[in-house]
Amino acid sequence: MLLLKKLLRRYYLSKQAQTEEHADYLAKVLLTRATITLIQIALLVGFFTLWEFAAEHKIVDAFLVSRPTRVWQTVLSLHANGSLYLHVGVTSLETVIGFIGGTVIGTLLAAVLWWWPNVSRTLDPYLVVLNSLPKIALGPLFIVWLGTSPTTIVAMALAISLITTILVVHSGFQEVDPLKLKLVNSFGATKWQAFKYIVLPGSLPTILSALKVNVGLSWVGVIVGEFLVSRAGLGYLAIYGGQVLNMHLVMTSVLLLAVAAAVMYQLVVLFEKKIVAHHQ
Amino acid sequence: MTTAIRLNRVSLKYMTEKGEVHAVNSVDLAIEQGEFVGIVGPSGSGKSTLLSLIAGLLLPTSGRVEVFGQEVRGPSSQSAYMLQQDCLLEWRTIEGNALLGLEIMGRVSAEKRLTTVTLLNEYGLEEFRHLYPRQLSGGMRQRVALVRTLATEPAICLLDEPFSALDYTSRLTLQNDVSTILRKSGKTCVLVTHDIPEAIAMCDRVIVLTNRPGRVKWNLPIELSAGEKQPLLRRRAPEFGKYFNRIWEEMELSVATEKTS
Repeated sequence: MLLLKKLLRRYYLSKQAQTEEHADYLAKVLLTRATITLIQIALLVGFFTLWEFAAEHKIVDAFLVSRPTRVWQTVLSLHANGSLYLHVGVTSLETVIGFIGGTVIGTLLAAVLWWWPNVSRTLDPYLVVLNSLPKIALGPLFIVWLGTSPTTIVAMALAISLITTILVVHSGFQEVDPLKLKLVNSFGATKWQAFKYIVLPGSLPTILSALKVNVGLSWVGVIVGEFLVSRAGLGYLAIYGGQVLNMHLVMTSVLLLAVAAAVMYQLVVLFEKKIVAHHQ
Repeated sequence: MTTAIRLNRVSLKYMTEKGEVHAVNSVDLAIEQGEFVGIVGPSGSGKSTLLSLIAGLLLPTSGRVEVFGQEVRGPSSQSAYMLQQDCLLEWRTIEGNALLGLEIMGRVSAEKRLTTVTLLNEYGLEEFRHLYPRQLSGGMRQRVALVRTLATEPAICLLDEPFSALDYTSRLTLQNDVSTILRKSGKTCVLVTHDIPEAIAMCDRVIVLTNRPGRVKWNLPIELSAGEKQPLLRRRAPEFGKYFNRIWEEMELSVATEKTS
């Protein structure tokens, strides 16, 4: 460790470090960052190793909790028969449609409420009630209305994110700087221009953070939807695995879901960073 | 001389659940073309309301507001605002911000664009044209706001405490710059401010309003012996302190009458 620090210090001195103390500081910063990353990796590897070890030595029952090697085998066999991509693809697509739909439709409805404040005041108590209603309870309705199709699953995802989006984005619209509105009004802006030039772009950070929340909500909606009706997808795979007591399949679906959700979230964060680069 | 702005017995009241609120009451006022007039008064005296009435953002409940002989019935391109904050849109470049007024009025053309860019250059902002507001200092941002105001070529500039958000040094510098620029352009300017020295340093005439409902209490032409127009130099004039004391006393009086009533 000490040797590493010395090496780093010498490296920084030859590069951007301004003084010896500065080089020490830079070396310390890098070492701390590297240590944290290493521990993060170690935690992941350790968890799977421990799991495998416990299953191997019958400390836990591999039939109930599965084991990493079996999960890996399941992934490989799903890959071999091609259904891996079908299940991951179906679930991801339903989720993407769900959170983009929820954000877009929610923003449009929030715009309607902004445009007609009295509509907003009239609907306020109903929105509050709908917001506190556990949307999953609507599942049976969607099945009857829409049948056992992917439409039901997307509807489930939409139902979960729509109302919060309306409320959050609408309050974002209302918090737009009144001085900026006064400014464009002094230029004779129409209501539509005020919306286009000030309200919508000014609320973009709010809309994008709603999008980020909706990614998570949409996953919940889609998985619940798949539990209820589907023939494909990771939620279907998990519930099917549970029914036939194939816990390897259940664990595999859960782990794949974790990976897919994390990737999607990171993509949205990246998108958000790109869009709101100049907003601060 | 033509009269640029004329207010004839202008009153504005609005309703609340508690009752009627008179924001300004029977204000008579005439401002000549090219004049630089300051409006001071205790807070709540309706200073900003007067500007909104001239701009056509508010319409009087009674009386008449005229700009160059025409009754004001809504916002027009003849007057433009500079507000308490620069109000630059963070998501637009400096040039995009400077063009905002023209864009909203649907008057952007290659020629106007060129004029705007020339204005930016004139105020030392050429190298920042493609940057975003957050990359500029407070003083520079307020200069961009000035360009945005001037780009629409208004005959009247309405300044609503435009320097109040700045630190003391930038405030003095910017008062000087803005005053010089606006006087050179020959525009009619109305400055609303809390800052009495600012009003004396920048204006040809200072109007003191009473407490709410605001009425014109006092009309004080500022004549400094040097005949100087630059605010920074005007502050050094020997009469500056006297003007300050007179306006201060008038305003104190307004506040005192409010307390006894």
